[in-house]
Amino acid sequence: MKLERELMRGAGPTAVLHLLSNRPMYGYELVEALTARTDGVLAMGQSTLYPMLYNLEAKGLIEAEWQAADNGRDRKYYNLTGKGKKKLQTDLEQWNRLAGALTALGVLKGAPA
Amino acid sequence: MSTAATHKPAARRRDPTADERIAAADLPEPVAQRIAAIVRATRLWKSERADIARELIAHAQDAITAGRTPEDAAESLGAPATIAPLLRRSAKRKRHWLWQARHRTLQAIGISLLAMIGVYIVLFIRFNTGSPDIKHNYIAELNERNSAYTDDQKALPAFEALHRAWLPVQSPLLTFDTRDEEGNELPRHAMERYPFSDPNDRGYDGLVAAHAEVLPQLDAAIAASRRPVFGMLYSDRYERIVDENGFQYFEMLPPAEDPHLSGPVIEVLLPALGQARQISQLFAFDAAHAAHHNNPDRAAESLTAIFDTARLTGREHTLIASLVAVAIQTMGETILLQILHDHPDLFNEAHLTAIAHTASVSGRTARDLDFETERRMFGDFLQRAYTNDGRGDGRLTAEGVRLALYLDAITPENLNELTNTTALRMRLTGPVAMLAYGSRRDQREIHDRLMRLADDLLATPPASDEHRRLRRQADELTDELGSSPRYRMAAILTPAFLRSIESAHKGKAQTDATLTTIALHTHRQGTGRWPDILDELVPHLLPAVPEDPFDPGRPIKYRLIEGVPHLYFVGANAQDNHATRPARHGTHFPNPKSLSRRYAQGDNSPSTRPEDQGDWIIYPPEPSR
Repeated sequence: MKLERELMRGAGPTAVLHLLSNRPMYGYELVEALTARTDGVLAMGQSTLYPMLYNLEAKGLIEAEWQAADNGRDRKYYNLTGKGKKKLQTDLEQWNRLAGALTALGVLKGAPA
Repeated sequence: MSTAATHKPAARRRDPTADERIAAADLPEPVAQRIAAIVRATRLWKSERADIARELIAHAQDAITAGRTPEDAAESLGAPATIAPLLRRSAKRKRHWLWQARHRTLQAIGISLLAMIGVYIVLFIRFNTGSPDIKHNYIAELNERNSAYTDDQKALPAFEALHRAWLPVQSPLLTFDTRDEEGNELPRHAMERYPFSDPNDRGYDGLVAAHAEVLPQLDAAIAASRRPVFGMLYSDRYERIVDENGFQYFEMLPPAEDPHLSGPVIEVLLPALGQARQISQLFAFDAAHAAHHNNPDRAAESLTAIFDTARLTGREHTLIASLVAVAIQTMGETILLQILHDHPDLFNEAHLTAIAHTASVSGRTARDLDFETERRMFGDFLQRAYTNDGRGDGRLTAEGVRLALYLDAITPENLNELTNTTALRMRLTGPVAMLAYGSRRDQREIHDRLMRLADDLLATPPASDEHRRLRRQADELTDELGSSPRYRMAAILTPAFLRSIESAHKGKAQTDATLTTIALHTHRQGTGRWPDILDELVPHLLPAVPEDPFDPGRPIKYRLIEGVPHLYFVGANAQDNHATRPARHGTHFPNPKSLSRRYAQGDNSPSTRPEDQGDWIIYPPEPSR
């Protein structure tokens, strides 16, 4: 099941920043990772991903660099900046607080005591 | 990153374009076409398009390598119409801040221009769809005052008859030489200082002969001057009549009953006022001539006719008529003072009393400036220039702009501009004028404030603190009127009321002094001597000794110098110069403004101007007269 547009708009950038916090990744790799690791919930096409990446880059949260892969093909790798790390930290805190609030209300199922 | 090495293109090598990269990637046809379509649709810079193409190529290659079909890989890139605008928007956000600043500035300018165009369109529609609502017939209202009087109660018909008779007779007198054939200056001609002509002047006999030719009409006009009203017809319609001698004059026609068909009140023609001035000059000459021939009855009658004419024109209740009345009154006083000086034994007490009574009444009437007609004139202008929302407000119309241009066309340049102003130009620039020049209510409010101030200024003694305060207010308000575009329309029709009030105050001082001079002569007739002090005249010949307007709180100055009485005001230098005139001064000494300035300043600071160093002597009259 895919998320509604508004939810995706909020969750997508945080998810991308989180994936890039582990290591630099290129576009196709990000698409695949988002699909595989979220069971398709956060799957996004190129028409969503690349504009999102450009926006994050324009805000200085990520930076890009062209590199030649082992197979000789060019790939544009995206990496988290210092500003991006701080933003991710802030986003994660907010998502946790949101999840906690929704759990307290019984909207989300909490972890067993 | 250990598996990848940083790729650096060779220095100075030209970066491939998007199309070159797509061609070089050797992609399946559907994928290549889709990437080319997307990149083309972004309409970004060439380098940006190449960068996006490179990334989408890598993406598609990864997808095909992962086992997806070319069609599927192409489809997964998205529709060009959807993805291209998103890419374009986000890619532009990455551009340099200088580009961003320029872009936003241009955007702001564009938006502002659009907003201005939008506002102009709204104003254009409002301006060109508004039309005046002409309801009142102000010209008819002006004529109502005289409509209650019959023709035999009006002086004007007899004045017109005299004017028409005098025109052809006077005409040859106006052409005379001032130098002979050898260039030598000839003696002064009687017409050079008419009506104060002297029997010794060259051509005096011709003037007397011309005067004799119109005697029947002159007698009728003198008799008519005693009538209750002048009887002017206010109208913008007239016929230009040319008589058998080629002289032209205006035959006034009744105004249209429908105000839509008549012109504005400001266009009303008042030729009768000019005639009244000319007739008064004829009365003045008649009085002087009678005095020269020792005919006191006729001289008194003619002098009385001058003052009666001032009364008649002053009663017409328009500012311009009042100013004409003040001028006629001043001329009558001047000729009277001259006759009293040159023929001190001409009049008996009865003559002097009758002249004093008429001059006193006419002086008051002439000075009683009435701004009611100015108010009506302004109301008429507003109803012809603005729309009417029924609540006293409205906006400027194309007719209003046309009317304002017409009224403002007082110089040849302006007239040319008006002539060249096409209807289209007026329609285009009018909306801006509508915005800049303020509403109907704005014009009405400032005009009402000015007119109230004018009434108050007339009603307060000129040397009082209250008058000074009002005068300062009036100065501020007229400054605002002259400088603010908001009141541009009101400024066109606001009379020079301060100057009129100054003239009225000067007129009052001169009339007071003239009446005192008559009282002096009456006293001499009764006692055989001039009084030692003016208090001897009070109260049987003078209700009170008049105040010196240049020396507030103190009386007019009086001295007997070598047996000749001297009556004078101290003048703008505020010093008693012992009845000495300034060494140099203009015809209209003292300038009413110098009087008004003294009142307005309120500090009694004497004028140091050379032309003000002396006294304003009322009697004896100036020798050059």
